[in-house]
Amino acid sequence: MSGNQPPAPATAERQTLDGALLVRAGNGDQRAAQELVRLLLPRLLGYARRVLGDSAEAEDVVQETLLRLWRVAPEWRQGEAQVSTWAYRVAVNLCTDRLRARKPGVALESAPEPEDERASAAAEMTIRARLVALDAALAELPERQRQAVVLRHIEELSNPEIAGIMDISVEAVESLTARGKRALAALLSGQKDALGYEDDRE
Amino acid sequence: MTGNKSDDGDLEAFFQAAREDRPEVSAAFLARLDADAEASLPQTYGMARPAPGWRQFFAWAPAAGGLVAATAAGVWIGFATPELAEIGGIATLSDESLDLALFLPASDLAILFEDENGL
Repeated sequence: MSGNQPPAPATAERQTLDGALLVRAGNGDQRAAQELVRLLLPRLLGYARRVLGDSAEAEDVVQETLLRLWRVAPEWRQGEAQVSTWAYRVAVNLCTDRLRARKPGVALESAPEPEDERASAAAEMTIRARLVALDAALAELPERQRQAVVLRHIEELSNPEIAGIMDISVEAVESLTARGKRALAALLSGQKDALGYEDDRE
Repeated sequence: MTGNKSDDGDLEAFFQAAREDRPEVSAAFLARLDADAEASLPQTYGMARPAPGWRQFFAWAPAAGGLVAATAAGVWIGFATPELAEIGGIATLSDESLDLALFLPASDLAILFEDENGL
């Protein structure tokens, strides 16, 4: 994202703000719609890109998610549901459809270069290697595990939020994330030296 | 990376890298999303929602109907009971001084009478 994004508000405050903006957007307030796009976009795009491993497909998912959001906006009642949960749920379902439609063995695009130009070249290479390895390992997971792990550990949503988004119980979320992490750990084992994460723990 | 505690610590470096790897959003993509919002959302903020063409054509009908009804009622009252039309009307105010008194405050009236008496 560009550097002029507003700071992210706290969760409860953010949810109230999202709802208020959507109600205003549903009444035709274009400025509110634009503000809501800029609040939701980093989260939705980050999630979709990490799960799909493809920026163009991730953009398509986000665009379709927002179009569906605008369709329900005129009837949206603040407090009845959380906008981000609703949007994530649509994005998760759209990603699931795309993952199921894929033929096995579709190559993931390589992760983009990290943004921080101040980092040393070696550190940049390490971070990039970690991202590539993580994306490759995530692609090996069953789709539900992949989605749960990304929502929990990268998007940092709570287990109850993820349960609402994926329409499963909190226990099922815990099970998916635990199994997903075990599988990731197994897939990434043997790359400690190459990825340099032992250094982070010193 | 076999034990749970160890897994958490080792994976955290990967998750942290992913959390910091926020996607670049192109200006073109953002413009596309804004255009979608503009095309999909109602354009009625701060004003009444425009009615369909045929409804706009007949929008004057209720107001015109009320005016016609009020006029008809007045005409009917005038023909049926003309004395009602005169009660409280200008026809009862034949005295010129009374006309004047109706529009002057009491203090001004006193001055008027003083002039008439030559005082």
